[in-house]
Amino acid sequence: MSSERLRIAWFSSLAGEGQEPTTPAQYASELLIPIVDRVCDVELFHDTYETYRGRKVSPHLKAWQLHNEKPFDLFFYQIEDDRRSYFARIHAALVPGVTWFHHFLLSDFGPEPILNSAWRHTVGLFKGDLATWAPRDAKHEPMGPQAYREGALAGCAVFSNERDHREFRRLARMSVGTVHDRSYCIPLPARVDGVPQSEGAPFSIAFAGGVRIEQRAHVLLEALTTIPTPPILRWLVPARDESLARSMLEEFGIRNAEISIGEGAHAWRDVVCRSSLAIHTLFSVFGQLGPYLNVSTACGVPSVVCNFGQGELLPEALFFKVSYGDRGAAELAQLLMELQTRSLRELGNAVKAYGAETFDAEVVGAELVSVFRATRPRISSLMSKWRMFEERARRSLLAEVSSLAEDVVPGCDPYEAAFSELGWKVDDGQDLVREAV
Amino acid sequence: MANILVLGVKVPFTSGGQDVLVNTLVRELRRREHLVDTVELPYSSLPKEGLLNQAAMWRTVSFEAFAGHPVDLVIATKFPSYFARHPRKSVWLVHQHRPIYDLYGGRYSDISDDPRDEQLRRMLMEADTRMISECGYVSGISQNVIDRLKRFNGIAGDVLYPPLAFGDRYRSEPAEEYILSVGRICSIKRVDLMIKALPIVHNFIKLRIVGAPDEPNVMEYLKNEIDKHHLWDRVEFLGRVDDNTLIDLYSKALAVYYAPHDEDYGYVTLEAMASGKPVITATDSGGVLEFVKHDYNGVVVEPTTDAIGHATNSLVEDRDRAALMGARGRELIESSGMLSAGWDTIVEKLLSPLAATTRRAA
Repeated sequence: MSSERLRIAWFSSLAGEGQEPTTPAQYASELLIPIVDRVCDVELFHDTYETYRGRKVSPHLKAWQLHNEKPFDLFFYQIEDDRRSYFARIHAALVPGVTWFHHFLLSDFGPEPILNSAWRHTVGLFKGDLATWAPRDAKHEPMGPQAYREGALAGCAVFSNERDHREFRRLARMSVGTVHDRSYCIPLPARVDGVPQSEGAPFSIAFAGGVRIEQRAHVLLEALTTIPTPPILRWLVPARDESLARSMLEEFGIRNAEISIGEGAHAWRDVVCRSSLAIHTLFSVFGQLGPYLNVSTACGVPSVVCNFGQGELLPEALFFKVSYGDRGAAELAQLLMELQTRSLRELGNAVKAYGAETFDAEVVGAELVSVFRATRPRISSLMSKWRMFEERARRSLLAEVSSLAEDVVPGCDPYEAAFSELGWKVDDGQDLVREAV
Repeated sequence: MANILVLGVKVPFTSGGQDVLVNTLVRELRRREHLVDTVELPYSSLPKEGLLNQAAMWRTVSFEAFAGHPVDLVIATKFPSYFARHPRKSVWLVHQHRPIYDLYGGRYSDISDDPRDEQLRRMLMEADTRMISECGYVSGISQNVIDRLKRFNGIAGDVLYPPLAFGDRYRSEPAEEYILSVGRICSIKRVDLMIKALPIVHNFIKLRIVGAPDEPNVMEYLKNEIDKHHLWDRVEFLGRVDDNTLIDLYSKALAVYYAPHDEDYGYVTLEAMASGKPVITATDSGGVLEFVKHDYNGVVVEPTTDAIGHATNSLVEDRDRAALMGARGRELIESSGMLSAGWDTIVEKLLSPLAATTRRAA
């Protein structure tokens, strides 16, 4: 493998100073930046922070300047369904790079600059399928909740769960490159040094779903009400949901429950390592099971998932699966009653081994670097073409501007000298002409 | 004594803090016996592509001499006035074109992800850095403005807070039953939040709004909100008012609402404080928060109608607390010297490129 140190522009939501990561991108960055940084030169970009864990962070708006001064080998973006990643979503379509999708379906259409995005036009023009830029006042309807825009402008698309990866390969058609030979699946990382609870400890279950219906807390609680001797429930709940969570416990009459207030993978790790079984019954097209499931697995705690979406694709031998729908609560209750009397030690060991092989941060980091190195030639070629495309965009802009000036003084550009001085003339020194695009 | 041009940027049919700043600076320079005049070129932020021409327009004009008077110094204020070419240039920065900087990516920016817009953003950002770096002296009207300049353009500068326009004419009178809002009526000033909060504010409290609209359709939107909540008797648009009326309105307000998004400075804040009135503002109001501390001289709440409504009620229901906050605000202003003093320092610093030239000549 090449030992060349790639220079990476890293765009990601980051946990704030003194704060724990609470989103997949924040968590992945926390674990992977130190690993990737050993073999690459990582420069961080963010829309707010100036430092991150003692490292300098540059404003994302200045990335192009830093790129001009000392070129990056590639731009790396982490896309997720969270407002804190908006800036990465915007920039992912300004300079193509390697884009790691933690969510392919996004529950909102994004920040203002991309609400009426002409990305389809941009891709079409870049590829030569279209001849003109999008009209300035055109309306562009989004195609759906899928991150088609970010996927189309990705030089290389990576997914942290196989369900989203498959959806991308099934649905994505537009691309600045070739669509399907440029996608990978790399799971979210997890630390594998968690120690599961000792054999003989009372049977307990850990649940990190919030109170929203898709997390299916109501299904779990209903299941618990039908078990003669229900296990201890350890429920990790964000502070904003605490009162609703307690109300639900009251409503279902669940007494043997401990609520831990917190969110994020680190908080989950503390809870799940004290439990016999983890419940990950998310049932939604939005969201994903990681990093919580990955953490449970890395800690050697067997998990129950819904037989839907991402859960469907997990190894049958290592994960328990229950139905969604009407039978879900009954199946879950049946499973919990069975597992209460079983030793899960052997399964836990197998799960931990799987977790170490699949989610270990060192393994994931190495895979990510491997993708960076493997795609670098393609990304480099794409960035060169994109640079020329940017020049074309600049020429087109200057032609628009020139025509505005000519409206003031017909046949003459009164600002030509100033434009020249300010470096706003096209690089090839041609006079501004109305570009026939 | 020097021949000085203050470079303002004029959006026709509107006025705001920028005009106050330019006018008071000119006044203070003249008091110190300089020959001063204002040059204002018209400005429009639309179409956005036209911003390059507007910047180039400033760069094209010669500011060397007028009517036989050589120009010794130009003082730029706001984008794109600092594009002016002159060997001795200072900038007292009101703000840059924020949609390409701190507002980018949000609802107050019209810069899209179209590659042409990205080129526009980069060209303006790069040129801003060059043009401001030409200045012999760099300053800004607030820490917020200087922090942005440093963050995005890598340029350091001094903070020179503008003293208040009316000096010691501000006064405080017993509060009447209204909240005052002052400023340009546009989306970023967020007058709509106060209007939408009124239904949960005690219904004997009115909202009096001074200022003119400078954004298309904004009045239609606000009037729709008033109609929706049946607030016709509670909201009064006063338009632009003369100085005495403004001072009077401040003096009798129960509180002043000023909760713009990430404000550069906020004259209104200081005028409220000078009038001994508490300020209702928001956690993301930027420069306002350099002067207003929650529960000390105002209330600082989340920028939501609920939070603003309840904060307003807290002042309505506890007039002693409101009066105490107002008194603290007045005390802060008096001790800061912003009522009238401070101009000597400002003038000295803005004129410092002249002194540098004199030293070089000597």
